[in-house]
Amino acid sequence: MSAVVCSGLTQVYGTQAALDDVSVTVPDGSFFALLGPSGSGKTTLLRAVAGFVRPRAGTITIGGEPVDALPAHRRGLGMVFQSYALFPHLSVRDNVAFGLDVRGRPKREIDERVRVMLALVQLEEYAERKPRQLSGGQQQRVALARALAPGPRVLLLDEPLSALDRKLRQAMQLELKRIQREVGVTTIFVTHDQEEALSLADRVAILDRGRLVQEGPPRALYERPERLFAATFLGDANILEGEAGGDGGVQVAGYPVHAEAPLPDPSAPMLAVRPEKMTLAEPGGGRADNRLPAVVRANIFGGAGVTYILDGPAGPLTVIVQNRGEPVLEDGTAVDVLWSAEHTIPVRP
Amino acid sequence: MTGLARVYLGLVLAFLYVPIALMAVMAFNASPLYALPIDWSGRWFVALAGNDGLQQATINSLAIAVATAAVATAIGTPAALALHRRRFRGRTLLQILLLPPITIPWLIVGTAMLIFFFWTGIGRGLHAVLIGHVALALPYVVVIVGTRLTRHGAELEEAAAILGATPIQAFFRVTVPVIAPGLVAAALFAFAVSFDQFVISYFLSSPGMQTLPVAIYSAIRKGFTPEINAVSTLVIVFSMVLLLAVSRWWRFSGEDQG
Repeated sequence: MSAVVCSGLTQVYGTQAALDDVSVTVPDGSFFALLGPSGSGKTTLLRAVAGFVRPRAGTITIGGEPVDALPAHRRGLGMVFQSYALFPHLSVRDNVAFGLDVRGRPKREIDERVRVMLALVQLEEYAERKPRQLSGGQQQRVALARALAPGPRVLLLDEPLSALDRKLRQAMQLELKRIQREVGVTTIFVTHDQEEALSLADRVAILDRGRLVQEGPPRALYERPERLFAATFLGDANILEGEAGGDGGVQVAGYPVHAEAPLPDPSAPMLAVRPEKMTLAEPGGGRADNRLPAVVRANIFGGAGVTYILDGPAGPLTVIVQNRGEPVLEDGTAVDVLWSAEHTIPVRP
Repeated sequence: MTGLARVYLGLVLAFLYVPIALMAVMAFNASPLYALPIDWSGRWFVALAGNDGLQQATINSLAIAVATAAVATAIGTPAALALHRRRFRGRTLLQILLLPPITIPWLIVGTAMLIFFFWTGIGRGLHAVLIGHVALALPYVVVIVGTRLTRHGAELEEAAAILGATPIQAFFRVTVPVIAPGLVAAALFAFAVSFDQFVISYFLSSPGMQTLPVAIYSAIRKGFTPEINAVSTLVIVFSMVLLLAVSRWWRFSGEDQG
């Protein structure tokens, strides 16, 4: 059992709070993404778990054991660094063997384990090479094999794919997911790339300015963001600022808007709608829970879909329409924007 | 343009080497008066072999230079680590304070050391020369090793730690091999600082125990003999062989290791 539980973590650099009372639980065996922009505290949180940063306040337990007093080398973790941090003077084999070697494991066990790890990342033929003789993707796999070789309780990944080009990155995402499943190790993964977090992780925590904004499965975070930051950072969203209507509903620029979920703050309601959940219809046409008149200002043809930028009654709206063969609407066309109450997400600022 | 560059570089090197080469050639001239044409002879080297004073001074100089290189590198490396791997109040100030001793004239440093050593009872002699040379070489060692440390950052040591290496294991298995070229360069620099040093050696050595530069200076004051050319030629050959050997080793150990 190697769940990681952080409670009340606080860290301050100068006057800046890098972590502000962050509590988060990483379930055993999960692939957990820490997502946020730079300066959100996600890397500080990872380094606190690693033992490189000693937080001012708060505790961390790994598999139920408090690790706050343990230095990094006694925490039994594995880590892949953004720059890979492979030892340049050692061969691929000796890099992978390092963690077992410093623990004084017998040579036969080390040899066997290194063989298994290199097979796992498909680099058996490269055992005698030096890191600088490998490509970026190969170095990344060596770093992963090295981190996994000693059998860590938790694997930490610090933006491991950010140095790779797009195509290699996608291949490595699949590889990473396969290896994580195969090994079954609890994995904490820091990224600023929302797509990467959504596609790789089975749980995502969004951080902003040192605070935990929201945590949950990717689908739930995308469909039910609780805060404005979560709605806009994870995917695109149309934000509608409304006012309380007379009948207990919400009005946006005088038009009634319905949401299924209850409003967190009925006096100043704020609603988020994903661009792909909206459709366009002729003025007065179609049927839907919600309807706002708008005028097409620009269209961006993207192959599988068309992104429309529209002037709505309360500011610009973005709507993504799937390309099913209809003609693209000219700029200046008056339309109605339609969407359902189910897709109207009340958010807090 | 490349032709011009070649000629220009040739002139620069000539400027550096002509006086040295002339001295080396004259070491093989039988005439003590630099008479031409050269009468090739090894007599000054033979004379040198019989000159116990210069030989002893050479041994002294080599011993002190090797000791300086070892001691200054051993003391300076942990200092460089402290400056580049720890964050503490006053770190920048301490780092800046390392540099002024490099610019203070040796004559002044030598005088200060002489007074201080006399006052504390350390006195004069080869031990005082060694202490003085280590003090001179230390800032260079800290700067050279520090440059190497900044080049690879703290990540390699963190990687070693998270893999289970104790700080001592991380230091000897990762830090030392990675900064080895910096350690060699620093040791070589410390060696050169010591081996070249005249002023401080002159102030701090006792009359019976001289280093080579001091011995040469004393010999010249008594009256120049081409034995000086001979011993200088040997020193030049030794220095060049050492430097070429090190630069070759450096390249083989892979300075492209980032």
